[in-house]
Amino acid sequence: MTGQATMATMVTDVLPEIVLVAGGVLVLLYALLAPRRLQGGAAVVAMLVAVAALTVALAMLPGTELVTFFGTYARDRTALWAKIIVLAATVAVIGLSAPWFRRDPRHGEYYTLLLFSSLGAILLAGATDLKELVVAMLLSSATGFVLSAYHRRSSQAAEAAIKYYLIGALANSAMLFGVALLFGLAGSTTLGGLAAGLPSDGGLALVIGVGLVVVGLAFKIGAVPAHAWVPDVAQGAPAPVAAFVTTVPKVGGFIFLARFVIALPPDAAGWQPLVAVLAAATMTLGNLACLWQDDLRRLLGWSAVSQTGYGLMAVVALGSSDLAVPALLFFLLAYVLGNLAAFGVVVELRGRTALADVAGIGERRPALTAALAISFLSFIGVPPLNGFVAKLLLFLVAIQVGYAWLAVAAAVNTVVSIFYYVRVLAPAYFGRPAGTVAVLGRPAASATFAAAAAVVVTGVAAEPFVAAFAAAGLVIR
Amino acid sequence: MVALGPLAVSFAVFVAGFAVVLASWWLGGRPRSPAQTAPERVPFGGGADPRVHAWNRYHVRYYSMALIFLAFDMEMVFMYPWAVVFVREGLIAMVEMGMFITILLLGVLYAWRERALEWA
Repeated sequence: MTGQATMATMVTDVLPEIVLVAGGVLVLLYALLAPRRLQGGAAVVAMLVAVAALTVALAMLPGTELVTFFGTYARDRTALWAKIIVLAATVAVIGLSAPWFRRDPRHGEYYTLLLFSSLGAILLAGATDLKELVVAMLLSSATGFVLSAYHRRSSQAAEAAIKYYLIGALANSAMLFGVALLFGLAGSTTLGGLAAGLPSDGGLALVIGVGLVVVGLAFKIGAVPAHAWVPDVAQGAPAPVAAFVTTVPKVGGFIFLARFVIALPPDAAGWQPLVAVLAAATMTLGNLACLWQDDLRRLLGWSAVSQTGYGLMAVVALGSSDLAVPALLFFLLAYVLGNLAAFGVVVELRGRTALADVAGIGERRPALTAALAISFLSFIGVPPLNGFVAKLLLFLVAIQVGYAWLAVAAAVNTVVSIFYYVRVLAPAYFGRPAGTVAVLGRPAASATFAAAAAVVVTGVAAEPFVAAFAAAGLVIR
Repeated sequence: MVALGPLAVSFAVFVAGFAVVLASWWLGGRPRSPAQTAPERVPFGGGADPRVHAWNRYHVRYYSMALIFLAFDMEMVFMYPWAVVFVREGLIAMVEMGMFITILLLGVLYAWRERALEWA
């Protein structure tokens, strides 16, 4: 009977996840039974589910930090903050999706996929077990592929989805080999077991195992070497899906990567230089690819790649600096909000994406253009916005742990990035408008403006957030 | 030649055989077979008259059903380890599997509603 008692208490540790599963099923039932003209109601149900899960996650924040379900799932404040970021982003994406898919006669199950995909990201953020990692990756990836191809008659969406799928299949199977190697070395798949059981002289097998798992996670966060899907999905997938896929899975991937590297023996495998090189390569490649981009969505995709590179600086510092976890969480918050605002503008402009078509929108749609400007300035790291605080923390932790060269590389990249962001903003404000600028509707506009406002608010009032993130632990056993 | 080893012998036999084939092909000239009749030229269809071209594309009707079968069949794999756990855990394992099967059943309902089970 004690087994039942502990089971009951363990179930309360995963309440947001349970809400998401039950809610996703509920949305599916709604989509099954509702006639075509009422399919849009699924968005309302999904929104309620996401808000309910968000409320539960917020209510769980003061609880104790522990690893539950026999060492396989963390219930710490880092995971909870990740859940909160993921669910808030999901709410915003549902707001963006409702008007975008209004004309699609059967799109109720879209919201089921969306909820399950955010569940996958949440499981990634909480997982402290390699097998749990595999399941979470699969859930998060498989739903992402389908979401990207949701416009099934669009050849661009199909191309984006097939690229996403092929790169994902390759990276995920590489990760499976890595998991098998690490299991063989440590005799356990839990991160606690890895920390205790991995031999520090694991040699080549350890290096290969760690490298392969990192490749799988690099796919999830859109980092070199598995970054190639990001620009294609950003350009080809339905714009709300692009907003979702470039933000939500990244949160989960980053948190698991953080847990994974602190479980490794500190002197073995050389994960710190590995992640540092990946960070430098990712930010530089993303930036260079952005420079002459003539498509706003593709530019946002490549800029998402370069932002991942900045975020990896926090991972480099994990275990050696107390500021690493708050830097990572604040970076994720800033990045997700900024990216949602930027893609929200694209959605609200009905997917208008060529740079030539963006010229002069500042005159016709001042508020939307302001939202775009806010998100871009936040990506650059201009002071009152949250991107500034994120970059400040990231540079700080990189220098603290002796990776000054990485901070310098990031600073150079930041200066370069001003060029391509201004390349969009200057014509938007000073160009001549051509014709009318049609917009999508109120839910999308609300989500966009809410994200843009949050970029400003979390930038101006960053201190309580940083303090809250500083109290977040990253437990693995 | 024997001194060169069995490899050289077999190589020589191969060359000689190939030469004989080439020579007979060249000396014999083209076979004067009579032109094929129309029934002989059609693809072999087990005696039945072919109604479409051999390279005709056709709909694999069982495709969606095969996919659905595969999905649910793979889920059933989980039942085997579960049967072992069930002996030890009892009711909890029963409840867990009940939840799992319920969600699967909803998947069947969905497939049904999407007309994936109709022979279309």
